[in-house]
Amino acid sequence: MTNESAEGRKPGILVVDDDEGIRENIADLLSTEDYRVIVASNANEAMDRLAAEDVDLLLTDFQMPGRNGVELIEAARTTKKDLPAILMTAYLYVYEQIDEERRKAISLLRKPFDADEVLRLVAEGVRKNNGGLQ
Amino acid sequence: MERSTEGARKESLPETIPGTGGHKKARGNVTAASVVIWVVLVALGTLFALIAILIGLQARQLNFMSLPVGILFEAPLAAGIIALLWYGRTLRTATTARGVATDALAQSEANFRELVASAPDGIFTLNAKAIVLDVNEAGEALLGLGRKDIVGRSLMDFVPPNRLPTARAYLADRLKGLRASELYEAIFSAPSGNSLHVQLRSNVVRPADADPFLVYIVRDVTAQIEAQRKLLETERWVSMGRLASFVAHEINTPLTNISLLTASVARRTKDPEVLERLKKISTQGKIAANITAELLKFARPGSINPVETNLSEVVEAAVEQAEVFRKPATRLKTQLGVRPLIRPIDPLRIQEVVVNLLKNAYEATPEGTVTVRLEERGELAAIEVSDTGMGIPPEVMARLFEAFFTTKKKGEGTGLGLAISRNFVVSHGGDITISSEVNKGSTFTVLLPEEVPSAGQG
Repeated sequence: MTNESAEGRKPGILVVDDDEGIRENIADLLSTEDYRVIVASNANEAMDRLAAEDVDLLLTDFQMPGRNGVELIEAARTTKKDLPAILMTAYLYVYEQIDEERRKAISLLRKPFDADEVLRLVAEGVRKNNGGLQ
Repeated sequence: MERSTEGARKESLPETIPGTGGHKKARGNVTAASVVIWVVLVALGTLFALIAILIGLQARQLNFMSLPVGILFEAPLAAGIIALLWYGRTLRTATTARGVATDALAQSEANFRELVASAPDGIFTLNAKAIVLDVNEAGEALLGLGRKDIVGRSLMDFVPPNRLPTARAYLADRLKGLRASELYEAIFSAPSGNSLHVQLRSNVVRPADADPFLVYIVRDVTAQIEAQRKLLETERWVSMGRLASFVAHEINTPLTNISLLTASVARRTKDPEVLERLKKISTQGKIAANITAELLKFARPGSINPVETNLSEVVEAAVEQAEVFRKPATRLKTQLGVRPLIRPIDPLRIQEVVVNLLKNAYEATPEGTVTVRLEERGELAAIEVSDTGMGIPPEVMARLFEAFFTTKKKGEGTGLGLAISRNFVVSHGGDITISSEVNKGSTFTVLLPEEVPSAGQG
């Protein structure tokens, strides 16, 4: 399976979580596939990375010190419109409270999740982004 | 206290009940005594006057008309007439005064009677053996009986057997003059079968020449106690929800890590033995993940998204989903009716409730029949799941909806299924009712209203 885009580069996935284990393990898993993984531990750090790197998809935790995941997704989209985003959370209600219009543009990854779910959602997001389907 | 002194003036106990009936007779007794005294006085006065007149007349006839003699003999006559007039006047004045006093007493008694009759608290007058001598309207309402069915009976007839010793001890203590200021908490069992929580205070009345009796002022606090209990229960649920949420969230992160690491290792090896063990780790992880998912559902049922739904479709979907739990010797009967039953529900949530009830029914019925019935009950839609299984013993019944309470073997249930189901149904504005008989089976009924309460948050 390959996710290389038309330009022949690996899609960049920005993984944001304040839990070091989740961050590293997702990075580890994604690097077994053809992804370029960038990590950040909070929203501010993530915004810095976004400015510096080529990011194709944002995978972020909801609950973090500072800005939360939804706020990060919105901030990221002011600079990078239509950036595919996946929100990780253990609380379903968090996702349910996002209004429907915004919810459509954010995929949900409910904790605990398994490797297949992450890989499926990431692949989906990257494909949509490349195809311009979102 | 006023009542004690009033009581002490009166002669015989049954006639002096400070309730509704006894006062007229009491006043009659006072009047009779006074009249006797007045009659005697008037008779004596009249007799004296008559004697005086006779003596006077006699003196005239005997011709003792010289002035000193005349005065001597006519004086009794004059005195007699004056006495008669004086008695007459006094009698009239006294009667008028007494009339005013009687009117005032009658008025005061009428007021008092009305006060007792309209008092919001039940007022029971008892003799020392707890026999009810009188009761007011609130007392009748409290027990749900008429006056004639209460008066003459022992108040202890309305006390549940397990509370009798304490109720008797209270009465005995009161007669000894103890516990005067105590607000005594008691239970009454009304003949309707209702159990009433009451608070009572009592006065002991000790008439000078009769046996003491008691006045119990009884307040029904059942509603308050029920409200208090509900509040406590809600608080308990909220704190349990918080705990569940915290635990689930804290455990979810390491669970996710286990799952991710297992997958990473699996992608880096081709060793079948390692892969097999990794698969086992993954299975265990999924079991743990299911438990935390249940915890979260319980902690925060989330908002419901009601849409007009045909209930029989939801029940059919649930039947299909629960089919894996049905044992071969168990038959399933469905009675979904002909007319579509449409209700504004969150179909996924209600389906989950029905699956849960079916699963429990199948577990309780290794062989026999499980019936799912859908019907309209007035404005409510009823989804009824009944089984011919083992039934639910009363001690389990009492704790059925309690979170983390389970009768299943370790690892087979979290004890959250029914708690979550109830939360879901309650957030639809409905309820789940249960009837069960040991060794005969159980029936769980989900009742759903025509409209979901506007705050559809669970």
